[in-house]
Amino acid sequence: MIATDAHALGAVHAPVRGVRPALSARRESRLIRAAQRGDPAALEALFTAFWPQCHRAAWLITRDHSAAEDIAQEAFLAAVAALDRFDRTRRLGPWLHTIVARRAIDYARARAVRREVHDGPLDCAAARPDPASRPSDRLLDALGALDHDRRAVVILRHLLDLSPRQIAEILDVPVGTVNSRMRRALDQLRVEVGPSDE
Amino acid sequence: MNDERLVEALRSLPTPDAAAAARRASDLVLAAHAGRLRTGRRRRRWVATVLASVIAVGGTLTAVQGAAVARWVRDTLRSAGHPSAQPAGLAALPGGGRLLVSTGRDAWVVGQGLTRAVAHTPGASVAWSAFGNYVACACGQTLDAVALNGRIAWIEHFAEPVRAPVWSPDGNRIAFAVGHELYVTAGDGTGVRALRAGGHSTALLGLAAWRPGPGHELAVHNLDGRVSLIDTDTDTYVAQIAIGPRAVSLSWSGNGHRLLVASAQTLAVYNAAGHLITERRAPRATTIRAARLAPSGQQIGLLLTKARGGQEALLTSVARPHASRVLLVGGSLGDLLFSPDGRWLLVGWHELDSWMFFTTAARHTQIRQVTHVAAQLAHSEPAVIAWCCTQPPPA
Repeated sequence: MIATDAHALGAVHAPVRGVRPALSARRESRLIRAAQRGDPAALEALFTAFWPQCHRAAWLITRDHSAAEDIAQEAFLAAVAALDRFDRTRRLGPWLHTIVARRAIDYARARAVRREVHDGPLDCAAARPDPASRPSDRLLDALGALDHDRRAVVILRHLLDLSPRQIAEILDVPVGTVNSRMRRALDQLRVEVGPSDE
Repeated sequence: MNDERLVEALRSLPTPDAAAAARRASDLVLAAHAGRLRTGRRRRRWVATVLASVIAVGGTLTAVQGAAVARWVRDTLRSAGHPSAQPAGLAALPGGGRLLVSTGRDAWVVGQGLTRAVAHTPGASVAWSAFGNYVACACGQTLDAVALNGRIAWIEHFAEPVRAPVWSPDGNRIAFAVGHELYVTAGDGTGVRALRAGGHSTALLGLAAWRPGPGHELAVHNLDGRVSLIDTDTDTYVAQIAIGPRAVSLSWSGNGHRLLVASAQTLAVYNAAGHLITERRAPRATTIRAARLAPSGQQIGLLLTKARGGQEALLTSVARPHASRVLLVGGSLGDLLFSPDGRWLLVGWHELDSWMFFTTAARHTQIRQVTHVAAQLAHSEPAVIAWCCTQPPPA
């Protein structure tokens, strides 16, 4: 079974700023080459490196864990389908992240249009933050309170480490709009999460 | 909150169901990767399929009568001589909709972009809700309804083992057996009650089929050699049909006007009042393993076991028994289901780990093959339970 605990990835998780890629470029290239030759262990290593981030990003954007699983799963299946054609000089992570981001945003937008009522996570998010709740709960609530476009910008930039230009392409908006959404989203998060996390 | 704190916080947020989701995804991704390497093997499987198609055409020569034979053979050879050059995948099934599949260990939903184990159901019998939003699981002494996201919508406990749930076409009733008694509940798990008309002390065989249409009528096969049509709302018999030998399957036409009762040697079609419309015997030297009435009520899909060994899948007409088409001849055929619109018939071909899909139109038979089925479903033996919902649920 593939290790799934984010902590099991150990060093592949960057401490904070300048989010370090999940794998070094050389190791990633080696793994892709081995996977192209049919080595399941190489594919498993790639999966282990990239799945948690993709799954988490899809979940944070959609706030629907079933949809998030499907979206991340489809991204990996697309990667397997395109494996033979994949250019090893490119990085796999950004490619996967872009697929996940596009699909998750499409899902979130479609759901917003459908105005579903049975949406547990968003119901929770709409509730007032409990001052006694854990920081992660407060952040989740605060993220849930953002509209999906702002939430997506935060996740794409700060979790998937996409550039404002890449985000603008995915969202089909000008870079300036990405920056303004980011600024407003961060302002709102500061208010919602509260001073204790400053 | 500065950027660094935010990155740190985002990366440490727990993802719901993370371990199980990763396990499911890794199984699927590794299976897809393994499948990608089996192109050569898949090509050989296509050759087997082509041979089967040719056998199918040959078999049909003995069944189709008259001047239409040449034209039919030509059409069939042209269209069925080779399965689709682009084998269909689990995510996009021919005919659309989704399949509920039981591996004995898990219940899976596949199709329309989805391949997901929705419930861990070891040894359970499962059924699908009318619009495919819930799976009813009879497991041990409980009956529960599980949403496709894995959430348990409701659960009911009983004093004896529960089995054979069947969900009504309007979604408002579930029939199931508890011990030796027939029970019914509303679709939301309320109003559980035993049906006296279900036959106290009569062991149900797990064969029950809701009649499509208004009301909540259920056809049930009992061990005493009868098929009972029960109005479950009033708990009264609508009809009782003496069928003699044990039935192997019950199925209704889409409009609820015809009921097919198949036993090992007989196919009998009844109307909704229990009167016999037509009856015929199984082809010579064969035994009927399974039979399904098409939603149109005009065709029957059959799985036959031949006395000399081997099995075959057949599509036959209710009105014209001689106009039968042998679809597949193989050693180990399994599932048999019509698509909700009746345009496709699914036949499981376990030897090739494949589902074969055949169009049911009289001419221009098309064949689609979905390969590596078990490999994609966590390497388990899959049994197709239901095919649901090419149409969206009503608002």
